[in-house]
Amino acid sequence: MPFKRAILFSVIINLFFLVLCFVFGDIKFGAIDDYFMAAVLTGAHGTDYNPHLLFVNAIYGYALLPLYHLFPKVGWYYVGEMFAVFVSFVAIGYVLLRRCGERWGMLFATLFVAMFASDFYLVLQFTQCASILSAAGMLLFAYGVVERFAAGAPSNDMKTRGAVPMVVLGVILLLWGSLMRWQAFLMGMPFFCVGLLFHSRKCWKSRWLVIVGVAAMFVGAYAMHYFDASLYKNTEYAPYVDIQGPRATLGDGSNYNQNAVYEDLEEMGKSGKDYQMLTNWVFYDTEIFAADSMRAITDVIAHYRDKNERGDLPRLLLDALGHSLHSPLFWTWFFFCLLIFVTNRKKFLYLWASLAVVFYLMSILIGMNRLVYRVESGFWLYAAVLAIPLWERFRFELPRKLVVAVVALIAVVNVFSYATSGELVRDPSTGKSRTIAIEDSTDYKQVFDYIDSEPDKMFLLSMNAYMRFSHHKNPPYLAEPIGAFRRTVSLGYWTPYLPEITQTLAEFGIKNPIKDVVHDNVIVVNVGDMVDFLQRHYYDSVVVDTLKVIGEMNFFKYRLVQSTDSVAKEVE
Amino acid sequence: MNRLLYPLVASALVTIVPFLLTFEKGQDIIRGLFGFEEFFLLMLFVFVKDKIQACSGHAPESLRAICKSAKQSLLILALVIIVVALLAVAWLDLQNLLAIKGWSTGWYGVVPFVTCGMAIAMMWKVKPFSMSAISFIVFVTLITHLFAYNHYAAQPLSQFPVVDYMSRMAPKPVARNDLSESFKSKYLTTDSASITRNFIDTARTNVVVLVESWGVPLDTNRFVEQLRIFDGIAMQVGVHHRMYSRTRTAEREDLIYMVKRDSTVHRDTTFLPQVMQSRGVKTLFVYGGDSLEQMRNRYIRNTGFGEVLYGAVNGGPWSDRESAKLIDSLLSVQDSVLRFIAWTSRDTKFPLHGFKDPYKIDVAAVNSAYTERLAGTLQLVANLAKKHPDVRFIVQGDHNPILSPIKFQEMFYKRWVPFVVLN
Repeated sequence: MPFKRAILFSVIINLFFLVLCFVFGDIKFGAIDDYFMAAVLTGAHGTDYNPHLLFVNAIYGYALLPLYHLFPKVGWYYVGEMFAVFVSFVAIGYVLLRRCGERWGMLFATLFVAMFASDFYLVLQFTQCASILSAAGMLLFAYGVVERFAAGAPSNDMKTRGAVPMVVLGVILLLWGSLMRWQAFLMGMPFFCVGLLFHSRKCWKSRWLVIVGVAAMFVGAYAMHYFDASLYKNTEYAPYVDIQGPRATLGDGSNYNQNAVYEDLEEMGKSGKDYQMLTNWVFYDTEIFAADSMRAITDVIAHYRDKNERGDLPRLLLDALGHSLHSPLFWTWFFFCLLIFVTNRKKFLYLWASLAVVFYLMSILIGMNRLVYRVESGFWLYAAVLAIPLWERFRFELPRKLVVAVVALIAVVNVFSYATSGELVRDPSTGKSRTIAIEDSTDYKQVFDYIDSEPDKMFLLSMNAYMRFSHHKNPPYLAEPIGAFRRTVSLGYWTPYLPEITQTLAEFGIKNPIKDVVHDNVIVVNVGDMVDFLQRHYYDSVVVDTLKVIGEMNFFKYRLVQSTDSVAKEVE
Repeated sequence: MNRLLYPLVASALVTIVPFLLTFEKGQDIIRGLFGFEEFFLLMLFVFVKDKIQACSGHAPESLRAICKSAKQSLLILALVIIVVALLAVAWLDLQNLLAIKGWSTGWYGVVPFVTCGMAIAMMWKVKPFSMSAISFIVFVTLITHLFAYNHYAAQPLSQFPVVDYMSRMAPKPVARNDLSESFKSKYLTTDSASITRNFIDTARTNVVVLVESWGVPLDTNRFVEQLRIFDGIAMQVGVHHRMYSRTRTAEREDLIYMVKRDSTVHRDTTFLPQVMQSRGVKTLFVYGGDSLEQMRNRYIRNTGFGEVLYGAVNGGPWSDRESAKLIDSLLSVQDSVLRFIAWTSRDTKFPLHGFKDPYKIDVAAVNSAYTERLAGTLQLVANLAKKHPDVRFIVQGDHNPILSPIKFQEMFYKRWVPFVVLN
């Protein structure tokens, strides 16, 4: 299929599904992390744009800054991610169309996008973005190398000339993928190696292209990664970076014996209740929960991690493979491998090679107790996409009318299913079907009005309240304006200790958020059980009053009272 | 595709025959219909056998002949390996089955040889599959099995003997939640949290000793050894269960007289010292360490002791020997006043004094230090009891050893502690 026609078809297919998603889907980020990274970028927590995005490389932020300056109202972070998915899908569709010819290609490209449009466009998320970008990049790279010396192609054919730009575009997409999530990009590399190994002869023919391409990719990716890391190595960001490790261990981990940790801490003379607060994401106390004391706790956790025995690994892998059968990307891989068997039997070994890589990566993740649906899906995506260049020509041609009919049918069925259940998406951690919106009877307009009506108060939020707020502020395609979150600071999550937040707190006279909840200008939202903690560590006598209740949002005021030596209450 | 039935039936034979031979009515063993690994090996067997046949039958020709014979002997070696592997898989399969039933091998050991022999005989005349066909069949079979298993787990399609064997042989976590039957038959075991209240003798002076980190060892002989210290004076020996492994909880729990619950969530606890104090008994709490340790300063005063003595503020901290000496001197006072003394020991508190990182120390070293110190503390208590036969002693562990290397912790039952009533 000619170059221009393939591009055109691929764009049309993708536009069709993009429109379906926009019209019928629930337009939200797939992960709260993305919402808050976008908010950090647009300066919602401070007074200016801030490209320190923690999980996503700052270069992505810097690249978007000019756009933000030109059109400050638009949520460019979201637009950029959507565009990344779109470009990746177009690239994959394009290769399918070129590889399989107009009819088969049309069918496969439509099917592929139909199956995954909702997973990527409506559960937009940086990890998945990184996976699809890396996958598309690897595919373009491999396909460019394969097509360069395709059998029977004259030396000055369109194909030959198109190969180098394709490899270049592949490298660019891979680099973009590495920006969105470093680990997802790295996990693609074993697949990339195996994929290229199956084209070793063709790689050898274009050895300079391959060497330069791969070198450019690695040098570029590592340079950008180290640049990003270097941005956090200064005194301004030191407290922020310092807290990230313990925060992640305490907040995310359920893969250890929490009871044993609790009891050991008590035996050491530390408070088990403090530890429970930490696991509930309430940790913005710069003294009691300083990075060092949190690390002392995570050190104990390290000894009680659940261990998988080596001998159990085959059984666990088999179970994990069985579980993968619920993922559409697994079936895509399965089907693509069968197509290798049908068209190019010699290369069928790719199936076992890619399965081995999947098993290898899975066993690493099982060892860490960290195998989740979105990561696992990423593996199948890489393995599936790299099967495409291994196909040979399809000998059996489909009747034109049939293709048109089937594509039309897919289109109609999809319009129907999006229209009826467009807001349903697959959950990125479990793979189960659900809606992104959360049931919540709270009237957030009242909540925000109340906050606005107290302009000199600082509101300290539970992480959950903070996240709930995100659902009721601007939609992702609009930028969260500068300062939108300035007076609402979370006591947990990955935002505490951000320099702009520290500065805002200082402006309100708050040095240590949890300790200073007793200040007159501090109101706490949805954390009403800190009296015990405050009395244990800081004050003789503290009481908490409820100022206001709006739906599920409770506004608390902590205050000091004269310590009357009343009937001593039991600590227990 | 009819020839696919041969390896399928042959591997089913290898899997099902031992199952049928060991079948008992009412058994609950989930088992696949055919052995996946055997299935693969049998196809491989035919493939290699065919290659050998293709090799032979040509006229010998110097160099080429040598090459050929080398190749042929390699192929024969491969064939032997496949047959051995097949036998090994069938053997493991049988062993897995017998392990579930808890039977010994006995004459069943013959079964794999017979079934594998029959399977090979079945495959002898079958036309070979190409390598990519084998690859394809194995892959599709695997996915079919997993797909069916996801939808109907009660009857899996294939059996994976080697995977099962590895999983069966993997070290299992030490079972230490429940006491063994032999232990239960030997000692009094109870869930009761009110050992002190049950054994207290209000007509006499009572000493309640909480021994730090005294757990119930999985090795019963070790427990016997510990109890030998109390030979001749022990009135009751047993173990009881605690809800938590915390010194603080144990300390409070052992002093509870009664807990009143009204219709609301409110809980009202009456402690033994309060009750004793009101009856004119002199009550005293002794701890050799600091009052801030485990936040005793915040809750001991609520339990109603007339007097509280902390070693750290009285020239201490005291070792258990010094605490015992103090108690001895109090018990030796000749007056008509009854006493109620509670003492929490501390020599065996983890991390053990003199060891640095609680988790990374040598297990053997911790074990011997712990054994020695615990015996020392128990001996002090025994000596006190022997010296004051008119005083009732109620000795209990607070929790099994925690805050120590995991391997060491695994030597003790979880949440079970011993109790001994003396005199």
